[in-house]
Amino acid sequence: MNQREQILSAVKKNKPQSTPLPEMKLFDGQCDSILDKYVESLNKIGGTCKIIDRTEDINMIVKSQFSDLGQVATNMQEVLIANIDLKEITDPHQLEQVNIAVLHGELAVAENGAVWLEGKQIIHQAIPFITQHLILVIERENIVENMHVAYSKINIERPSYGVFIAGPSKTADIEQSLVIGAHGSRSLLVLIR
Amino acid sequence: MKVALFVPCYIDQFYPQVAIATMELLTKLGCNVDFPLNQTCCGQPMANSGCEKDAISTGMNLVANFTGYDYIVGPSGSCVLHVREHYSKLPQTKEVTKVRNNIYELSEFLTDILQIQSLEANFPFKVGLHQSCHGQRGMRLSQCSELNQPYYSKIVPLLKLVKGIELIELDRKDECCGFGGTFCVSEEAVSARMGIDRINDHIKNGAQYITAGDSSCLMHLEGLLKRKGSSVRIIHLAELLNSSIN
Amino acid sequence: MISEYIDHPKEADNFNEDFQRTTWHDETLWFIREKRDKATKSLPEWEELRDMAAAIKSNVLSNLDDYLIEFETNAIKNGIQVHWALNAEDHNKIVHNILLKHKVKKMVKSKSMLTEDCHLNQYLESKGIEVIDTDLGERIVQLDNQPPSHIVLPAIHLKKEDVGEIFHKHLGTEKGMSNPQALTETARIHLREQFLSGGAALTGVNFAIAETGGIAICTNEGNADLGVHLAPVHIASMGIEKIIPKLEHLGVFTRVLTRSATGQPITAFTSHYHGPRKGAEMHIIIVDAGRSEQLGREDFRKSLNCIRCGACMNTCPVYRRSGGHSYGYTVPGPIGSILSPGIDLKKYSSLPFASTLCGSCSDVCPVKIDIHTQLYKWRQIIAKEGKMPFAKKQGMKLMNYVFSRPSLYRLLGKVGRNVLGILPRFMMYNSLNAWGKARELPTPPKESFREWYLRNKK
Ligand code: SF4
Repeated sequence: MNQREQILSAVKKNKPQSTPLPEMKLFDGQCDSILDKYVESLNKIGGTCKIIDRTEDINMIVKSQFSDLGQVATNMQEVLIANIDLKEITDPHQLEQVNIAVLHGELAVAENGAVWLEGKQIIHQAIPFITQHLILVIERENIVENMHVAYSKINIERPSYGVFIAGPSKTADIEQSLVIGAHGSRSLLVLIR
Repeated sequence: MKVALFVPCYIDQFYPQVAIATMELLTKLGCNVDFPLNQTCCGQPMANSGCEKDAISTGMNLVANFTGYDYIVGPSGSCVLHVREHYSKLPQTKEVTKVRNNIYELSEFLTDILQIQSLEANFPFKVGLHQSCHGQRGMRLSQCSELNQPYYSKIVPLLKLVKGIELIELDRKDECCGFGGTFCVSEEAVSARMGIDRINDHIKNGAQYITAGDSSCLMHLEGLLKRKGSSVRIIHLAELLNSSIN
Repeated sequence: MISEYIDHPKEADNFNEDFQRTTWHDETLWFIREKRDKATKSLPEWEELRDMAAAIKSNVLSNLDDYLIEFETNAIKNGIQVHWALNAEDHNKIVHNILLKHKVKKMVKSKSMLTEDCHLNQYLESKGIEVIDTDLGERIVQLDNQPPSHIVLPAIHLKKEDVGEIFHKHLGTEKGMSNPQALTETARIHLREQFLSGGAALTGVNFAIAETGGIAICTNEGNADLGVHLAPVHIASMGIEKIIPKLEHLGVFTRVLTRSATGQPITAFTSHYHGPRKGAEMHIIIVDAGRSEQLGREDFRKSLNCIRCGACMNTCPVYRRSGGHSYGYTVPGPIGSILSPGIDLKKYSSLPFASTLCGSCSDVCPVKIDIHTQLYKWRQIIAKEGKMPFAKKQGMKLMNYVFSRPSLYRLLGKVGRNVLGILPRFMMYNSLNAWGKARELPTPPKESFREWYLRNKK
């Protein structure tokens, strides 16, 4: 017997009698305003948020927040301040110097501030992590109440990569003092349109 | 109502006043209290040390003493819980099952069975309540800080029936005191440290007395208080509910 | 053999020598427990979620072989290479072979208790491969050549001054630097270089989804992702129990995991890998290492529910006052004390006794493992198999002998009380008397309750 078979047969022999899966629930309909809840959650996890009227405003907002833009990457046509073409890049190591990434998020979650990004849409999976600052753009109607609802909407195409990003990267590994900007982005701004 | 008094071994030997108070209190509340004379210990010290098997005849002795009663009341959540839960390891005879079903911890008995609404008791002091773990998380005598559940307590309302008492709030309302049976000697350093942290919480919040439903916890805390030279005293819940200090 | 035995009381005693530091350790972890309380109480459905999480896990264990096969089939469809390892040694060899094939000299690794348990780092280092732990806490302890002391907060036993000293020694920072912000920045710069030069990235697995053949990994720092997205090879090591049946079940687990761990509503990054990125390779190693055996132990199989949130450590009053290293096992605290005896009963026989059985661990556990009941049950086995210090066992026999003989009990009680009253203090409070080191004994009463009763009532 190879290792696979040995493990599977030991498991088969030792497993208990079958118990059923519980019925899943969505636990939704609990909050009055999903948008307000989202903003509140995002603030709690160290992100900031702006509601924008026109997509073109993104350029202005980013410019006003960063005196020196440096390398800017995006997967959105409307972001004209971008100076890196993600499609041109073949090796993710070349993204090392990216300062700002403006990425479109598919879905956001009110209970925890998370935004769902899909690997194929963001072109390089490394981009939201390697950038110094991250800006995510989401649609108001794509904010859902909680993780149960979120997973019911996510369609995992395969093979694929997808990630929920909730706030800038952080650590409290030194004496439990919260430090924002561990390895990934140092800041997170979510723009809601 | 006929009630059998279950007196844990260390209360019998070291804290007889707790058993006396329990007896007097129950009598005052209209119970006809019996004390089966050949009781010794519930077997918990052995079982918690891994010697459940060695404790079987001790358990059977307890059952033999109490099998004739519909209500068995003991001033110790820990020992009562042991009989209820761990006597599942004894042969499940009619007698064993009956004793397991009919045994109550004191505050539980006063709240659930007697459902008392008033008490003739006076205790004009600031009191901190220590929630002994076996009563708290084992018997669920009050809301547990770990769980998301509405507030309730089978002990606090009883204390509030006592005139003059002032209950203090603790920083950590239901943390273990570190007694833990043989743990108190086998893990001496941690046990002592846990107890020190508990008494400091009570002292910091102004307690003059620490009360609890288990004398084992109190014995441990008292030992630490005395060593520290603290003026804070301990008093078992039964004594407090039975007191008439003006 | 003697050196193999983990003497928890002794380690805990050493830990407690520094009173202030013990206070600090206790309070730091209690602070996290409080954050956990707040986060869990903000969800009305919290207890229901715990029930659901436990029920899902129970279903997983009862169909584990089928789910593992389903997972494997789907993972292969996703382009993932799946390997199986019976034990630590096999696991390490598989990793090594993958690295050899790709001529990897340096591997970046995010948190994985499993590889810690397999001593993978030491193994690979002996083969000339450099391993960089990229979680900040793990990197700190790795630089100082220590094991982690907590599964979620690996360096929780260290103060910022200690970290400053370690960085000064290994990363050349200024002596005396102790600002967490500055220290983290130093680590960020140091680790960025490592990410960019890693030839392979190894990660743990939080959840492996049978239905989709993918894995979910949760981190706050983003270190797992940075490693994986830059390196040409991704290796993910998982225990067989990491399986969950469906994607929708992640709704439950992502909600309970981080709230239990740190009180955050979710980790900063929850990544779902369903295959390698273009041009890269992805491997998953499915490891048994004692788990199938634990599955066969009726009283203890529920320990396999564990999602490694660390809540039982943060709440444990003993862990908080003895530190993770006192357990001598990769997973310390209550859950470690029920897992480790299944691995080596003799070596870890003091751990199930390192508890007052207060039950707090079972109540915080998001997957409802009856941890304190299992501690009690391990005690019975340790005593039965004679893995208990001999004197203690004899003492128990004697105790039962006495307690089952009412008249003997009464006689001895009387002697004991009298002895307490007359013995000189130095005999009661010597170094052999563990009770008296920090505590006074109760003042013995003149008579027992029984004596009082006979005198007054009859
Ligand atoms: S046993 Fe429960 S509380 Fe402890 S780490 Fe595992 S899941 Fe968390």
